[in-house]
This record gives sequence, C-alpha cells and structure tokens, in this order.
Amino acid sequence: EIHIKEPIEKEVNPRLLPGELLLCEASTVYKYMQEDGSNRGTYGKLVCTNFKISFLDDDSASDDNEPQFKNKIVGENDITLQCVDQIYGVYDEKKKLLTGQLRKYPEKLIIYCKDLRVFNFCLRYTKEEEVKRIVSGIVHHSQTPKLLKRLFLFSYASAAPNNTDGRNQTMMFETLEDWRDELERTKGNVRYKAVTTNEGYRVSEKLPLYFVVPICISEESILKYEGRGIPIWCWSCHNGAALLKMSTFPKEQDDSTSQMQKAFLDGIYKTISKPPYELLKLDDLSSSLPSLQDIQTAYTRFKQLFLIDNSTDFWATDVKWFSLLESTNWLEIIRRVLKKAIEVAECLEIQHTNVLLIEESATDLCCVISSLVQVMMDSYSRTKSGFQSLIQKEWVIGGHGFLDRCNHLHKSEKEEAPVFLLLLNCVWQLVQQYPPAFEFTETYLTVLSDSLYVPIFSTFFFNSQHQRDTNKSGESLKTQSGPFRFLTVWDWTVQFDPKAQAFLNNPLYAEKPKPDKSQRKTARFKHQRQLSLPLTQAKPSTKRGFFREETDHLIKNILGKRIGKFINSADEPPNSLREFYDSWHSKPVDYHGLLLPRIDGPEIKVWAQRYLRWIPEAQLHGGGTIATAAKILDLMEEVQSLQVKMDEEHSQAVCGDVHSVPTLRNSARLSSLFPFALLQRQSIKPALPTSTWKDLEDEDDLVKRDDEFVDLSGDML
Amino acid sequence: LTPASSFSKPKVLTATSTLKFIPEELAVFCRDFRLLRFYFPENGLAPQAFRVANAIAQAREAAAWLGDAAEGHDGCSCPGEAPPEEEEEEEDEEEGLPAMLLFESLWDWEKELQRLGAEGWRVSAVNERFDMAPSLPKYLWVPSGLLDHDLKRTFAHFQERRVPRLCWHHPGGGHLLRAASFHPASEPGSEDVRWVPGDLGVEAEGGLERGRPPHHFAPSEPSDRDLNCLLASLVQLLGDPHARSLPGFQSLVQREWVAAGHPFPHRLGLLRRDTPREEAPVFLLFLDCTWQLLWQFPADFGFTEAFLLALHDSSFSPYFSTFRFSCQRQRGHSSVSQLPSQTYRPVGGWQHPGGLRRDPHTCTFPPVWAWGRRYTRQQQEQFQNPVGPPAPAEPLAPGTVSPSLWGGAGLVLTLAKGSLCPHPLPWWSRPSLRPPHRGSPSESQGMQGGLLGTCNPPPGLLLPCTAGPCIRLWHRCYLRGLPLEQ
Repeated sequence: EIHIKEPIEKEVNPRLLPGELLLCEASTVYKYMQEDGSNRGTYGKLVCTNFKISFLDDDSASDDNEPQFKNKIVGENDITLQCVDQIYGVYDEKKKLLTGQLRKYPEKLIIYCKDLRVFNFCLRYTKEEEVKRIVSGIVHHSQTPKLLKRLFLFSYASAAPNNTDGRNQTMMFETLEDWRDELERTKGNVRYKAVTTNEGYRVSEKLPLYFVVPICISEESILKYEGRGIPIWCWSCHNGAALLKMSTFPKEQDDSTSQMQKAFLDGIYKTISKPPYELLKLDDLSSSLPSLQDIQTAYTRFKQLFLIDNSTDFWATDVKWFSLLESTNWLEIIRRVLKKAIEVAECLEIQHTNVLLIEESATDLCCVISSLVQVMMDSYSRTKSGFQSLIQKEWVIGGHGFLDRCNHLHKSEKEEAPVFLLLLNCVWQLVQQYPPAFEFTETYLTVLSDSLYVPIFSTFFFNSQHQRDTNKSGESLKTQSGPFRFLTVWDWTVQFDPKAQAFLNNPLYAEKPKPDKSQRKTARFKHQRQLSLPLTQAKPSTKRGFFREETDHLIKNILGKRIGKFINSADEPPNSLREFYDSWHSKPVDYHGLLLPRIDGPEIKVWAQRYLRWIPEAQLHGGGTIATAAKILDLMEEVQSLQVKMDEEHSQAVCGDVHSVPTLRNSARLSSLFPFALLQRQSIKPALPTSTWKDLEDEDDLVKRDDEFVDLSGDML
Repeated sequence: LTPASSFSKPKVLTATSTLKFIPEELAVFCRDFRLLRFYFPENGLAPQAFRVANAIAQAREAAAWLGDAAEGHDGCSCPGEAPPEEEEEEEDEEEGLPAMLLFESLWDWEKELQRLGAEGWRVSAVNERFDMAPSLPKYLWVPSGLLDHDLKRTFAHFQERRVPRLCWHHPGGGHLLRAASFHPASEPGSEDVRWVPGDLGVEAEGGLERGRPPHHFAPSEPSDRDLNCLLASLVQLLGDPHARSLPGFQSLVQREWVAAGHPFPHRLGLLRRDTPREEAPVFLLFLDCTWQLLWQFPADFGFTEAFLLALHDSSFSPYFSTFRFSCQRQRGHSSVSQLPSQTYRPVGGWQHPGGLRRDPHTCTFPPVWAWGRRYTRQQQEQFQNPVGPPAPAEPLAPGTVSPSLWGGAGLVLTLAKGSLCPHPLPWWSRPSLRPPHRGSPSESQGMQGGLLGTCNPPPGLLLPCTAGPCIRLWHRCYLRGLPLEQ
C-alpha cells in the first residue's frame, strides 16, 4: 500500500469523552518533536476542551504502531487541564509566562506539564484569529481560578453512565463496616472503637463520616472542640501499640481559652496513657519535619531540573547536575521523612509505646508519616489492594486537601504543596530498595502520580469526604437526575487495558505463602496479619535495656506522667534509634515483615522513571532496569506456559490464578524510558555535548550541522 | 592507612613515626574500604598494644619495599602456591567457560586476531626478547605488509619505543590502535615511520557506528601506558559483545592492561618508594566505568558487580602476578632471575582450562583469574550474570558487516587532550597504501540512507548515557565500609 501525504487538511476530530466539549481549536499548528533547533515536527490541530488540551496531528488517526502501554483516557498528545503546570509564550525569542489576560499573542507556546512533559507549539503558520482564540482559551481554562462545579469531573459523571461495580479489593472506608474490618484486621478492636458521632458531619466537616478513637473517649469530648485535641486512630501494631493522629488547636490569643484547651488536652492524655493503653509519645510534626512551604519550594526547584526545553538546555545544566540536584534539597526532605517514619516504627515496635502524631489539621504530614509507617510495618499495605486501601484510609477519607494541595482550581498558590507526591517518592525509595516486598511496581506509582491530574476520578479532586458528599448529591443542579456516580482511580480498567495493567504488577513479588486452606476463614476481607517481625525474637542486649530504663526514668521524672515526647533530636536517645536501624539491617530481610528503608545519603535516589521518562538525552538504548525486567518477564512467560502444560497433563482445571504477563519478547531492545515516551523515541537522536566532539569537524563532510550538537542519528548504523 | 587513636585523638602511623603514647585503639583503613577497629583493653596488654601497632606499621612499609626491590621474593612465602590438587580439578570442570587468553603466548595473539577477523594484520614477534621495547608485550599486531625489518626502525621514534599497534578491529572495518606519542627527537618526515598512516584505521566509539568510511582512531598519550589502556578497553566494552562476557573481559584486561604494560605497582601505590605523584587509580577508574556500563545495561554483561568487586579487591592482593608487575618483561624476568629454583617447577595449581601453552619462564604467582584461590565456588557462581546474554557472546563474525563496503582510507583520528583530532600525525600527507576500495560512494550512501531514522544502535553496540542523572555512585564498592551498608 502506498501512503500519499495529503496536503489538504484532513478533518481530524478529537476523541471526546462523554461530557467533554470542544471549546476552541486552531489548525496548522506545528508541534516540535523536540526543541533542539532542528525544527523537526508535525503539523496538526490544537484543540482545547473542558477536559484537555490536545494536539491532533495528521497521522493520529492511523495508529499503526500502538504502544504497548497506553492510557485510554489521556493520550500521548493530550494534556488534561489540571496537568498543565505553566504556560510560556515566546515573543521574539523571549519567553514570557502566560497567566491571565493577554495583550499580545505569542508565536510559540511552551506548555510544561505536571507529569513533566514539555510541549512546544509553533503558531507562526496559524491564522491570527485562531491564535487569539486558542491561546486565550488554553490560558483561561487551565490557569485561571475555577469553581469546583466546573471541574470536568461533574460533566463526566453526569454524562457517563458509570456501570463499574466499584467492587474491587480496595476498602473505601466510606462505611462503618470498613473501619470495623480494619480494626479487626489489626486487632485494634480491644482498645479502639469506630464512632458514628460525625454522622451528618455534626462534629466537623473536615473529619470523615466515621473514624476510630480510643474506647475511653466520650462523645462529648469529641464534640467539644470539633474533634480537635482528640486522638484519632490510624493503625495498630501487632504488639498492641497504636499509631494515632491529632489536630491541634489554633493559636489562641485569649489566655483563658488556651488554659481551658490545655486542661482538656491534659485530661485526654491522662485518659489514654493509663493502662490498658501503652505509654504515649507525642510527635509534633510541624516542628520535627520541614514545613509545607519548604516542601513546595524544594519540589518547585527539583522539577525544574526535568522540565527541559531542549537539548541545549539539558546539556547546559548537565554540567552542574549534581550540585543542582543537591541544591534543590528535595532528596534531603525525602530522607528526613523516611527517618521520621523509622523513628515512629521504632517506638511502636521496640518501645511498645503509642505514638501520637500532631499537626495543625492532621491531614498533611500526618498522612505521609502514618502511611509510610504502615507501608514499612504492615505487609498488607505493600499489596496493591492494601496500598490502595491505605491511601483511601489516610488520605482520601482521612481528609487530605487534594484540591488545595494540587491547586486544581487555581484558587491560591499558597496552599499548594506536593504532599502526596512526597509520599509516593518515599514509597518509591522503598520499592527500589526492596522490590520483592511489593506487589506493585514503580510504574504503578508513576501512573498513580499521573492520575492526580485526571479529573474523571473523584479520588483526588476533593478536600474531604464532606465536600465530596455534599457535591455528590447534585442539589444545586436540580435538573440532574439523582446523585453523581463518580469513578474511583482504583478501577484501573478505566485507564488501562489488561495488557497495560500487567505492567503495574510486580512479577517478582514474594507472595506470602498462603495459609492452610483448612485454617482459612471465609470472612470478607480477612487479611492475614504478619507477626513474624525480625526484631521481636531478638533478645535485647543488656546495653539497650539500660538505655531504655534510663530514658523511661528520665521521661517519668520530667513529665511526672506516662507521656514521652520527641523533643529535639539532641534530646532523644540517639543510640536506641541507631541500634534499631543497625540491628535490623544486620539481619536478612523478611519481605513480609518489618521493612526499614536505608537512609544513608547515597541510598536516596532520584525516581528516574517518573522524572526522566520524557528526556531522550537520559535514556539508554537496551539498558536500564527494563533490560532486566524484560528478561524476567520472558522467564515468567515460560514458567507459565509450562505450568499450563503441567495442568493439562494432570487434567486439572486451570484456575484463574494466572496473571497476564506483558509480552516484550518481540521488542528487540527496549529503551530505559519504556513503557513511557514510546513514540517520541523514533525521532530521537543522541546528541553529544560539544565539548567532547568539537574537534570532530573536518574538511571532510564529517557532520553537517547547524547547531552546536553533533547529530548521530541520521547516519547511525 | 593505620592511624591509632588515643583518647579520641587519632594519629596516623607510619613506619618512621614514633608512638609517644600507648594506643587505645587501632583503626585500620583498608583499600577495599573496610575499616577495622581493634580495641586494646588496658588489662596488661598496653605494652603489647604499642608493639603490635608499630609492628603493623613497619610490616606494611617493609612489604611495600620488598615488593619493589625484588618483586617475587616474597613469592616464596606466597600462600597461594602449591594448592591442593582438587582445586585444579575444579577449575578443569568448568567446561562451560570458554578459555580466556593471557596473551603471553604467540598462540593467544594469533587466536584473538583470528576472532577479530582483522585482515591485513599479523602478529609480529619482533619484541620477543623485549629488546625493541621493554614495556611492550612480546607480540604485537602490525600490518601484514610491514616487514619486521622495517618495523624495527620505527621503534625509536616513539616514546618508550611504544609503536602504534592494533588493539581491536571493528567488523565495520575500523581499527583501534594505540601508540605512545612521537618521540621529540625523531624526524616526522622520516621514511621509517611512513607505514603508519596508510594502514592505520580506526574509529572512536561513536564514529565506529556511523556508517561513514571508517575513521582510524589512535588514542594518544605521551606514555601509552595509562589512559590509553583505559580508553582502548572501554571502546571495546562498548563495541564488542565478546568483551562483555566474563572470559572476554578477563582477556581484555589481560591484553590492554597487563600485557600492554600498565604500571600497576606504581599506579596502585603498592610501592612505598614512589612519590605519591605516581599513584593514580587508573585501573580502578576503569572498573568504575565498567560498573557504570553494567548498571546502565544490566542485560548485556556476562559478569556481575560481584565480579568487579572481586577484581577491585584483588588488585591489592600480593598473591597474584597480574597486578604485581609493570610489564610483561618484568613479570617474566623476575621469576627467571630471582626465583631460579622455581623456574622449572611445574606450574602450580593454576592451569588454564583451555590448556594454554604457558611459558615456563613466567612467574609462578597465579594470575588473579585463578578465582578458585580466593573465592568459593558459590562466590564464583555469583560472578555470572543471570540476566546477561544467554550464552557467552558469539565472536564477532568477520564479514557480518563487510569491511570492504565502506573500505576506503578514512580519516585517522587521534585523541589528544580529550578531543578527537583529525590528522594530527605529521606523516599524514602520504597517500594510502591500501588497494582501491571496492565499495562505491553510492553504495555507502544507500547504506546511510537506509539507516536514517532508525534510532536503535546496532546490535552489540552500547551507547551509554553520560548525562548527570545516569552516572551513579558505585555504592556497593565505596560504601562497603559503612557498618550499615553491609
């Protein structure tokens, strides 16, 4: 078949989702493949809808080479409005940030995305009228404040019949039942109870409908300060020690009020540090961890390292890569967070104390630390459904303000902070240090981080359960029939077909040996607890016993109560933490037991898959972790086919246990960017920095070049 | 290396330093990044502590001196000799492992030349008695058209008499050569050196695969004994799948470093006498570069990080001939003159599985490749990469890419001061001695056109990423000493 390039513009129509409306479009827009001065690219149409910005090139209709890993909702050339980070216009070679009203229209548009893609569009050949419409349309819809109800979420939910049952393994924690199951699973039900006090949100709109508190806490005290000053249960350790969180009182000017609050708190502490409760340790996260502002600043600097305009920029900054990376402080923040989580784990595991995390709203760093501690200590949280349940429990229902923290509505930049991304970055460190301990892969985490910006799922688009519930009913839209039915991000079939979903599962996951069938109970969500933690058997040395006694004594003397406090790192017994860390690392890893991250400087790494996936200069042809993974997947496939053969031999019914394994066999040498950035690769050329290659030039036609870089792709073997 | 501390005040110990206090603790910082701490309890051991500390410091110094003055002397006490017979058998059992080459015999050089399929080159034995160039190996790969008689006259023109010679032949037709820089006293126009340009033919790593007429690439540094070793072997690691197999890698090190005369004792700082300026971890730099490649392309190597670590640590071990000498001559010489009693002893335990004919005059220290000496079978199994290429890489089939396709006397590029320079050689003006090439320009054009747009490098070639995010710290090597990293 002969392909003839049609000069006449083909009518390419954007693929619209239910409820998606085309707002404006511009034709003959030129999209650069990669802004490297070569000006290669494709012509096409740039459209903006109420869901996404999309570039439709002339070939987009024919999908000859379907990538193996494809998102069904957000295509390669789609940018959801929430995914736009910043938009720059280029005027006479000068870059200018585009925010609100525009007086002049740029000749080039650079869109930086929150998933770290960079798009370069040239508008020089577009009609002026269209340029005006598309640029102001894109800027307006992606960069200006928005009403919650204008989120695409609502148009989609009302237009798309949501037939998905939603009954997957993930616990949503929307019902009392779920909380009770979780209490039972962690054996926390002796001392803690799920309460219905907040039904109708009469305690607080910030708290979930149901939550868990110590049994001795009365309804009155919960109601007294809208739930502030009340320890809320997160998780119970196998030895009974629990992880709790509490939101504090705002700073009071009035002396008598603050006196009353102090008395209230003292009362609470007294109640919950009496037996049967364990010793209580308080940890004020606002003083022991970086502030949200610090985190935001660090991440803003960090992501800049990866939002690369072009090759020239890349190689220019590459010279200073290591010092630039260091100066962002992002990895250091990850390290501090991990260290804090280890501290908490030590208190729970070794010292058998309850830990109470304190933060003003208890919905930011509290979520990070409590989630991390659970990932480290509870092997259930390292399965896919367990991790998803954890995110539901601590973040979605727990009341993390996704809407504000992601600044989805462009309301206030002051509220923006990548708290959830920080958690994913920390979990990634664990995943790459102990791959067999996790049922999911780093690709899963990357895809999850991308889903933060896809407004068809309700998961990351509300600040609290209350906000979601009130907006769900659709009361303001009387014409709508019934409440909205939102999708949850955990239904991965919405974004990925089964073949692509296979990339989210870790083929090397060291699955827990299933208990004997005779012993297995049939109860729903009966999660087996893992009790074999490496340290529980370890006999404490005399030295550590001495330390413990001493510190306990000290605490009792100072506070006169059974309450300990993390004060400053200087005051806490540094040896016990170090000893805990050292002793754990000196033993072989039990992938189903306690997992402690290594936090020495060189062990904290850049999450290469997420941050480097669109940067061709950083790719390895046939290299990277995927090179090993491909081999393993081949092996898995072989094992499975043998298994099938064996089953046939024994004429046994093949149970549905066989996971689908992604087939990579046919692809010869994969790039390290796999499974992302597939199509871009074809035009990629490795460029080598000038410094090394300058002298290559010769009177012979060594390289014909018009830029500073040597193009090796054209005539590469 | 051996500081002692007294009441938290550490002092570095050397042989000549006098201890003015009784050490409380002895801390030994090892080259393999271990830190050993010995604590001397006070109950009566104090005088011994003093003596032990001093003895260690002096022994270390003495060992180094000995090693230099009479490399081989302490071979008598070398614990590696006279190994039990079973060990030998074990080695022999490893049939799956194709033989590596030591490049001590003519046969090795012939065999490797054959594997490379480098037509137009031959093995010359002109340096068999090391009288042409003391630091060069016995055998050299030189152009077939060049007679030994003519070759002999070129030696004088190069520093340390290290003439240009072939390192590697790319199946695409390019050649990798190495040589020392021109001797300042020689006359560039002299007839003696005229052979060089015409037959030189090599390309650099990137250039190798570009489908242009082959560029002849000759790394050049004044001495040809340090960075040339590094560069020549790295280029081969990138371009030759065989070099990435375990035996291939060992052969590579043997040829480009050991036989080529890298002054290991000086560079590794095994000799005390040397000024510290002679010390430079060139070989360790090579191991680190190899690790970067291994880390970037885990599925392309037949060996593992464990192997590199073993090699790293073995480079400081006194038991192996591999790193004890500066060149082949010294290696052979020391055993002949200093250890006459051992000269005709049957070569100890280590016999290469391939049944290599080993010169009876070579040193009786085992080479480092006798892994059975220091590593158990289980440990050695960990040297094999499970996800590496399924079988030891096939030798590059000569003619897969016809050398004649691009033929032609391409450029001669020389690496100078970190950059590739065209025709820096003073004798470049001379026309090519090669026969007219068969490949027509249109043919090569067509080839280039066909390759345009493909982005994957050809099979076998690795293109490492040199961008900042892709260069990592080899933490399993450097951080081994930290208690937490174990």
